[in-house]
Amino acid sequence: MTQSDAPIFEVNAVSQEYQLGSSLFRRRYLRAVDDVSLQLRRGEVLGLVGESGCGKTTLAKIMMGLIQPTAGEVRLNGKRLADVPRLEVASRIQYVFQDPYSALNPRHSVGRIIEQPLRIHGVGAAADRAQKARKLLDVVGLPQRLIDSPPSQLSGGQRQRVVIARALALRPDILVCDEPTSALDVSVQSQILNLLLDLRSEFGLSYIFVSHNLAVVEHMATSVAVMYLGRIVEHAATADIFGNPQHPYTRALLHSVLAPDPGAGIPDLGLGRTVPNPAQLPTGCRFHPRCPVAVPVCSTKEPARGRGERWAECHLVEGSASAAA
Amino acid sequence: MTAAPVAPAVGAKPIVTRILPRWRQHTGFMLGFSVLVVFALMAILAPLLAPHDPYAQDLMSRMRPPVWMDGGSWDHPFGADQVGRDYLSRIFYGARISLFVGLCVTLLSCLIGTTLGVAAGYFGGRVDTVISFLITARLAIPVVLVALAVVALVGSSLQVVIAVLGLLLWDRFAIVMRATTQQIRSADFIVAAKVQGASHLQIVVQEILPNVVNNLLVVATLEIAQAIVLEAALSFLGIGVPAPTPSWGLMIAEGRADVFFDPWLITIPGAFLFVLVLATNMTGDGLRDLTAPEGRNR
Ligand SMILES: Nc1ncnc2c1ncn2[C@@H]1O[C@H](COP(=O)(O)OP(=O)(O)OP(=O)(O)O)[C@@H](O)[C@H]1O
Ligand code: SF4
Ligand SMILES: [Mg+2]
Repeated sequence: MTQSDAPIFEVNAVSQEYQLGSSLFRRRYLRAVDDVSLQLRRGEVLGLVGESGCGKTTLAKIMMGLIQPTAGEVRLNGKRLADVPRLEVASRIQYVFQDPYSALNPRHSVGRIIEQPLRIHGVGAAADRAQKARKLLDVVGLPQRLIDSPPSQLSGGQRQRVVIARALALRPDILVCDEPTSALDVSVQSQILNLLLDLRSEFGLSYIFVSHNLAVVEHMATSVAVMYLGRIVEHAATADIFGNPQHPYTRALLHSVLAPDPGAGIPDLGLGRTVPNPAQLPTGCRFHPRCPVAVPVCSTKEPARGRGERWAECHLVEGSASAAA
Repeated sequence: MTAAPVAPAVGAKPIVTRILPRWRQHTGFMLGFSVLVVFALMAILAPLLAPHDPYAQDLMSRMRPPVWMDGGSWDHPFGADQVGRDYLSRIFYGARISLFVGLCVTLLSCLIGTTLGVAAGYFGGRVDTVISFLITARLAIPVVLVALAVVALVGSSLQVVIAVLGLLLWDRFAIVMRATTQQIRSADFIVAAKVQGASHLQIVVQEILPNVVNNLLVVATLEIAQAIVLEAALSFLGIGVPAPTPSWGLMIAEGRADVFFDPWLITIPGAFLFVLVLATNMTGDGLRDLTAPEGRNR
């Protein structure tokens, strides 16, 4: 797959703060995404990994324009997402949901669900749309006989295929997949992942691929962003992340993959019992309370912000990060 | 175009076809619904069924008791009233008024209540605050007093009764629709519609309404019963359907003076009113059971 140089999709210095109930005297905020910048080039698969609650879904929703970020902007083909008309955004970028059970309207048939985007965009006559829906069933490997079935008669894997077919109906350039296999049986997961990979070459898609499963990300992604408490603490090509991880957090993640039970998300990282709390960010490096190699400066001074193609936001690798790039 | 063999679509079909296999086992629903059908037929076929003109006065038959009492005759099976109008014919035509008022009022209040409730549940925030206030305000208004005031201003007629009740009885629709919409508004399939670029109207009509129509049907049935009772009450008070229209409430009011010597003047329309309202409520309760998720019904 060729990767042209201009990014088709950019996230520039995006932050998202949620207000957590205001008491009489002060308001409390939760910084779910903290000054994140990312770029996606055509044909790229950007893996986004991190523990539960680190802000992956929030970032994905900002990318979809479902949440207006409190700071920063998203650009689609160089234009600010907020300025692009609703229908055009929809035909360029689509979403694959984590939970295929709640992503399908229980009152509509499979065919109706897949046609829905075409209806909304006023594409073709009813017969055309039905024709297209049937084709899409083929594309995602579902039997034609399901076209009139309600979602309740489908298995989880079949439902996720319907979700994917619906996302493809408008021929988008970008698919944002938020943990698309974590709600599925292990046996079905690899089928869905391989389907996504096939579709990538067939439709020339680029992916933002959110996951907490590193093995899945290694299989899918061309580059990886490691997220911790709202920041991308390390970013690099997939081979570099897995072959030569720089950030202590990335190393801990990789280490956990080698643990006996890799399927169960991110298990015990061996990083102590300090649960990260995005409502009360640590001073200095946000990873320092759990970092096994922390030095005194870590608790007072924040590491420099990463930029470019490869970075790790850590005092210990600051120099080597720029040297390695 | 010939379609490929198609699997039976259970969940996607309209509610009536889906509950068909189950409704036969629900005694309450079957009973209530059958009675409703009988009453509806009675109302529709009133011109064919009624032995007499419901307005025709026959002084010779004044206060003729029903056939099962001394002095009754088959010419007037339910007797005749104070001015000799055939009571059975007036009961048949009265069913028309009751059901017509019930349906029209429910349609009107359903439209208002559903719009407000869905808007409050879907948009939330300020819209919800305003609409919730409207609902509270509406609940604080006594229906009968407002009806009295309106009738004093514009006079009583069938249209006024329907308009007043329709504009006042939307609260239950609004409350139920607000709650059910709140439940599904953050479901992923709503987000999916947004991601596809759907407008708010498209989301409400195509994604939300199909999921709340069951609850709507249940509330509507119960609301019909309430409207019927209120119409009778208003007519009884003389601020509903004007005489000589055959309304059951009016018939009860007209029989009031003779309640000690000829109680049947009141018990006959009273019994019909009671049975109709009971049947409507049983149908509503049955619908609620039958449309509940699998296994929650009896
Ligand atoms: N609407 C909201 N209001 C307040 N806080 C929120 C809201 N949505 C998310 N959060 C908080 O923001 C943080 C990031 O949430 P997010 O859902 O983005 O995490 P995630 O990385 O997707 O986690 P998971 O792997 O569990 O899906 C969490 O601490 C969460 O509690
Ligand atoms: S900056 Fe310090 S605390 Fe943060 S990751 Fe690097 S070594 Fe650990
Ligand atoms: Mg998430």
